[in-house]
Amino acid sequence: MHKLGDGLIRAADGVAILALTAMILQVGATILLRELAGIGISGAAEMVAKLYMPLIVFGALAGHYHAGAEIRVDLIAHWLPPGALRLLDRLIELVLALTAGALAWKTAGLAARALRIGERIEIGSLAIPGWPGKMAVTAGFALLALAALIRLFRGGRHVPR
Amino acid sequence: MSPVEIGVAVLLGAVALTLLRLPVALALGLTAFAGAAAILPLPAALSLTARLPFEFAASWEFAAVPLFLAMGAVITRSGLAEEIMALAEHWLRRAPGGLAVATNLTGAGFGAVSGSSMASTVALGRMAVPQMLRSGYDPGLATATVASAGTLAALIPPSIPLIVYGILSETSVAKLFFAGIVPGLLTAFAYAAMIMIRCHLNPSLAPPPPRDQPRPPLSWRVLALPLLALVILLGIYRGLFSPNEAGAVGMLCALVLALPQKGFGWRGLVDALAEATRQTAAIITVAMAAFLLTRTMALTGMPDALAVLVDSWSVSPLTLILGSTLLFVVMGMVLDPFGVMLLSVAVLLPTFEQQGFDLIWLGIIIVKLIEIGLLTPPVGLNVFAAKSVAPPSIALTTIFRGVSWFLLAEVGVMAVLILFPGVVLWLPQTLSN
Repeated sequence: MHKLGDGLIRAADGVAILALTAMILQVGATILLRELAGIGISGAAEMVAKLYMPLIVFGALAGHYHAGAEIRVDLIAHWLPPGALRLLDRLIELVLALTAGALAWKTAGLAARALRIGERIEIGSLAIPGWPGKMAVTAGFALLALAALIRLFRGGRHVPR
Repeated sequence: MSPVEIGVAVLLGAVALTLLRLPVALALGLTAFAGAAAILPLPAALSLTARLPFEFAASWEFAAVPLFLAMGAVITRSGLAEEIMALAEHWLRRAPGGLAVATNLTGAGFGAVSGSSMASTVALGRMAVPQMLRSGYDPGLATATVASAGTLAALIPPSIPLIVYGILSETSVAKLFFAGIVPGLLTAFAYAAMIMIRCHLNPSLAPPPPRDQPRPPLSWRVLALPLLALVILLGIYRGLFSPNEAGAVGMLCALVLALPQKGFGWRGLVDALAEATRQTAAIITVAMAAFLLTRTMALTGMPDALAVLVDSWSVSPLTLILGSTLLFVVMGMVLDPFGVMLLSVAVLLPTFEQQGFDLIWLGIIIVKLIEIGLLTPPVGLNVFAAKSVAPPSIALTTIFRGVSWFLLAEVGVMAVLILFPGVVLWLPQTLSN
């Protein structure tokens, strides 16, 4: 189960990396063609906003947490006895899993609606499906809940990759 | 409870949950949702919260964050900064504390291609700390220099905190970029002056190098970073591309420069992209939670009430900014500095606007203050970053002690920036004219 979770989180990381690569290439090509050849290509901003950015942010969200790199303040950790600290950590993982799970559930409705109505991103005369960006939000939160559960059951902040 | 009281409770709750070790995004998000649910009907609060993640992340403006992070990560892994460091060391070898001054100035140069303070600190630390220690430098001076020089990346463009501030405060990111240059250089020179004075008064801190050191071999690579910075700034200034597009151009240029470097290759590229996506996820989720908090605060009416209250006190702008500075420094000691900036934008911006502060100048002051927060104990993230690349024998307290001298220099820089706003505003105003 843990291995499956690790694999899914790594796959989402891969999607984020691919989205960032595509974003760099598309924006770079748009500027080069515009400035060097005077050819204007519309749609880069829409693709970046509606597709690449959600894929980058929510694709990498669980991986960031899974690697134990989330931003948190460890001020009281120095004063708590180890047992209390472990308990607090477990409680935090549980709260995070519940919150991320609830967000996955609520955003799934928006993604399903986008899929149902065939939401599209208009790029000049072309149009691409708009649901992958919204689905990325749901998948990102679901994987974050999974990462929190993995950490809860493994017991520890840092999970080796 | 009145809406304003709910606002106060939300803020205190956010601070309390952060101190209880909840991830900052979770702490801000949960309290903001609770506040919204206390004011709005529950379905409306749920709908507001559910729609926010996509609406917030699906932003063309925020695209600058992963692009500049990727550029910085590529440059860090390529080793392109090392030659600049070697040259600066050679030029400054006769100056008191020459290696530390060279590290500091390399930090300023590195800041021009990296938008993240911690990434800059780690990269500088790997290059400079072992060399300074081998040369007999005081461990506190060596490690504090890299921790402090790392903060220059947040002022010298491209700067991730300035991008986030610009988006949340609806001010021009291009103007913020140009406004950060002079304060960034001023800080670098203040650090350099402080290092030289200290080492002149106490030469045991930094023994001079042997006289017969050969000049390091130079190649085109020494020009790589300055050229990259120039391409980005000139491109934005000439209107060839927007600050967001500059990220993609910078990343592609960095790639062209980095790929031929030994030891970089495709693996280095994938690692750099992975690092950039994860840092983006971290930054944007915290900003997203802070944005929800901003909306909740607007619902409570607390920021406006605070603005009216401060106005009724008839305090001078200087008193207000000094009071806020104190608040930032204290909050920066116990909270994540990025969270402090986002909280302050959520709560204090209407007050500052009502008092007639220039939002560009204010952005630089706020970013400067959060960078100071990266150096102050107990939550000094840059100090932790310097510790992570220093030998285990160097204690955290040694680095914090060393950093205290840099904080002294910061007091001088802050005084100049607050008393003479023209230092910040001159360049963006001149360029826009």
